[in-house]
Amino acid sequence: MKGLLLRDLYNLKLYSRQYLIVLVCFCVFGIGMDMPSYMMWMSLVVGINLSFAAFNMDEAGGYAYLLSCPLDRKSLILEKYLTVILNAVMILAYSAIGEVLNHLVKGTGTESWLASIFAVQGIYFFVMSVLVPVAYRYGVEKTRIVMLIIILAPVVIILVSVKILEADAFIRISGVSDSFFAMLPYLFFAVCLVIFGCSYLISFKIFQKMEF
Amino acid sequence: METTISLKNVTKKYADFTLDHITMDIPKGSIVGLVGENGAGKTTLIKAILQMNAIQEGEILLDGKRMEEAMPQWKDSAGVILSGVEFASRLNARQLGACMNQIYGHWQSETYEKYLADFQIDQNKNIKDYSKGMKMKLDLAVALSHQAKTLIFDEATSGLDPVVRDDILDILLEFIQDETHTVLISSHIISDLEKIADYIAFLHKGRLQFYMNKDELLYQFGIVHCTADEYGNIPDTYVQGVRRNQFGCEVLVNHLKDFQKRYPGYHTERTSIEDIILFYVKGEKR
Repeated sequence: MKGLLLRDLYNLKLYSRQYLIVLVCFCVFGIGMDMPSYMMWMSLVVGINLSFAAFNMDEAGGYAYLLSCPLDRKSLILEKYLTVILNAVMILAYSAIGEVLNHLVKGTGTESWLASIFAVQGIYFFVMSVLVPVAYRYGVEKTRIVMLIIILAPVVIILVSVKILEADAFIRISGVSDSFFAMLPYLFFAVCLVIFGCSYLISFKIFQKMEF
Repeated sequence: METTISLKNVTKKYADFTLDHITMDIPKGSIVGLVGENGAGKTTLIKAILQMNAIQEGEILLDGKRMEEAMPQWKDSAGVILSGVEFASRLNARQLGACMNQIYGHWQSETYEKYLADFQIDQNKNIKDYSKGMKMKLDLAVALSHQAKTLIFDEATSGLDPVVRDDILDILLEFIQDETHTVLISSHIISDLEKIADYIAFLHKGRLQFYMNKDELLYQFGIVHCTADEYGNIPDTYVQGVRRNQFGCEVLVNHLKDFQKRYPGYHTERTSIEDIILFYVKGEKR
């Protein structure tokens, strides 16, 4: 597994300059627009893309090569999920840097940062929990379509809900205690971690049966 | 004789193809050539040995152990080259070596660098920029750099020029000098296998047509040139296949020496493995 992680790191190094430029641009836009959360959300997109670059490499090169090495299928799956976790750490680090820079440059407060970062990390793990097994089952190309659906679906749902839900529904929702809303990002993150764990088991079952 | 790989009634079924009850033992210290036309099942068989697909029937033993028990540790002592796959094309040879050092338990960096130097492989050039021959040599360098006891090559020499192929064959002959080493090589280039193989296994439409010592194969089979009438007089027990042309018949006969004693008037000649296979595939059967 170490060899596979090393390979992914070498590949990351190849693209590091491009990603660094992209992230610096996001940073400048985010600070310029006075939206520290902009960097956080954009780093989510970069993190997802990075994770899929690793999948692409496995698929392009052929899983058969990996299986000709003394690696069991469990290690191959575990390595991919570890890569996803490492990318989550990268998102976290980048968001932290962005938050600090914003605070220094614009003097913005950091009170809501923790809740936001847990929400973003939760969304990242949720999205990857869905996309990784789909990638194993259907390939990276079809997974990109699923990725678009996952990103667009919440937007569509929210827009439709605004039209359909009665006006007093929002009043009723707003009656829910503030403490619950305060805990929501952390609860969401915890649930997404559980889903991520289940995703690993599903991916393993899918990959166990695959033939090359 | 010790066996490296033992296949007993190995069967793998697909919708339109079946690898049908393959039984053969690959002895330690030998080079076994696996031949057959495209779609015969050579790659399917090799992938079954490497546990890349699941067999429906039969058993595979690796160094005496059941495959399920032996894997994945057995692959630590096996150097595998498969056609059309690669680890990471955007890496260079040096980075590939660093990754393999973490994957194989007995990786030898000095040996790897020696092979890279011998093969004149630029360690800092991306693998995707290598020629086909260079990629093959790189795969060979990896296969030979972790104290492998068994080499498994699937169409490893296809598409390579004769010079590179000859280099690879020389390396295999050197590898097999150690009697504990074994090579299983599948190839369309039968002339290569004639040079180096000890045994030839011929697959046709998923079935093992024969698995014999190469010298015995060449000794046993021969071609008889005769007229159509003369062909009718040859007993069925000798006839493996016949090809008819405007001049008469060419008959592939088994037990050539015995046939020559019994029918001294017939014109016979030695054959090659390629001819034997062509007769099996394209020749008429009685």
